[in-house]
Amino acid sequence: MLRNNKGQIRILEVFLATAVVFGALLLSRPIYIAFNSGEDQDVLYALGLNVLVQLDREGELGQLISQRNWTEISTRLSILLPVGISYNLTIYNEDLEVLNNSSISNGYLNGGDVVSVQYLLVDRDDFNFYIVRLQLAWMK
Amino acid sequence: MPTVSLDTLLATSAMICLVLSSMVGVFTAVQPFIKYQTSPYKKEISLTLAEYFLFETGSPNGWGADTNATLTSFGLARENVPTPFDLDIDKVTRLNERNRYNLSFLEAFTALNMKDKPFRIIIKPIFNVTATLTSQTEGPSEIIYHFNVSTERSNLPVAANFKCYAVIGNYVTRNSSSTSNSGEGSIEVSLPTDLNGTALLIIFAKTEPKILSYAVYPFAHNVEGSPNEAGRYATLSPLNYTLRADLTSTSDRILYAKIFTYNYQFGLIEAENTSTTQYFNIPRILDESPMILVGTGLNLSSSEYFAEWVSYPQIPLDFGLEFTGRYNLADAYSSRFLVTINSAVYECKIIIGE
Repeated sequence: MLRNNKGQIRILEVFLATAVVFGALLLSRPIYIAFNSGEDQDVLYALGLNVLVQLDREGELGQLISQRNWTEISTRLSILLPVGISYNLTIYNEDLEVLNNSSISNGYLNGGDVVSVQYLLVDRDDFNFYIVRLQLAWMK
Repeated sequence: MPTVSLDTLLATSAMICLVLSSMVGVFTAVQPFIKYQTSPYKKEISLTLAEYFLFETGSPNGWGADTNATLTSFGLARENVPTPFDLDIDKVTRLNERNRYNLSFLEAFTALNMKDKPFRIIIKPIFNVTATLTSQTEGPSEIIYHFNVSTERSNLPVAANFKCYAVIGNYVTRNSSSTSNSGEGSIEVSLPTDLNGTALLIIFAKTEPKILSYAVYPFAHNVEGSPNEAGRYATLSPLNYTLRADLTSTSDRILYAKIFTYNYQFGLIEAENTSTTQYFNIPRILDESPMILVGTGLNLSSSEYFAEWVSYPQIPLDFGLEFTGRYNLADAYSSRFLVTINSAVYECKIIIGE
């Protein structure tokens, strides 16, 4: 009876060791993701700034904001950004009040890996000042 | 054998299996990380170099339009423009290897003055448009052609408005329609039966202002067989708002040259000609659209019209070294930008090697 107990304990040790090893694997995975996402964030930032510059070419973004045409802004962002990127655009006035009363977005942003690009612009027709914040994340 | 020995043997075997499987697991989890481990510094340098191509004008000034100038510094930006990512139409056109005045990669690489940085530049429209001839209906004096038009981006459908022109000889007809949210649409054009030969269907599709794509579909009109293959009668090279046509035979000349954009079409005026070359002036059209230049003529032996075409800027293009293959040893960093050329927006991918 005593000998049988010793064997059972060893089997139990194996299961415990298994849990430790695979637990370590599971816990280490987020570290790799976090390390790699640093470069991805630089890419996203450059991409976001490039898209905002194109969107604002010849003052078109300022005009669309003045017209409160959020749908058009969303449509243009969807075509200018590559497939596979989630975005959320928020527009503030000079008093830092949110102007867009409806969401300018194509889905949910993953809270962990969101990159935020701030862009300042002035509407050339009536000289209103706006702060545009574009948040980007890779779709997962 | 005592029971305890059996238990120990079983536990030891299980432990060895566990250690081996954990080694495999760790290797599988870490292997992509090791394989693609890159220095952030290298990545940043590559991004900066890619931006340099798009922000700098290069030298000498106007090297794109001046074919006699020796390139000393490589850059694609338009001169005297305050906004970034605005590229010069001629500098971009000279990157296309099918252009008569194309820049060799060696010239660009030498002008870059960085010996360890191979690069590749790919410029293309943001979305694709394709046309397919589905059927044709013959009437007493005309033939009506039915086309399916599809628009997509990264294999996902895109809704777009499109305008199209059908050209044969000096005859042009136009029509417009749109693709639905499924990216599919249709259009029909009719051509008179007293003309025969190669006809072109030119489609400009637009999703938003400045975001356009195009397609040119050659088809045989009123003749048996297939349309003439591209470059069979002439090779067209646009540069510095002049269209150069290099004829393959002295007998087949371009009789009609035309320019098409999303909203406009004009005939081109011949500026100069020799026995094998013709030059046409290209007007500076203020339309946010690529330009399609078409040259048509009459083949004297068959009495059929032929048609040749080229886009200006000459896009899509793929310039530089192919070093991203499986057996290439260089690391590659890719950056994607949106660029403006002649008021229309295109996608530009720059791949830098290490």
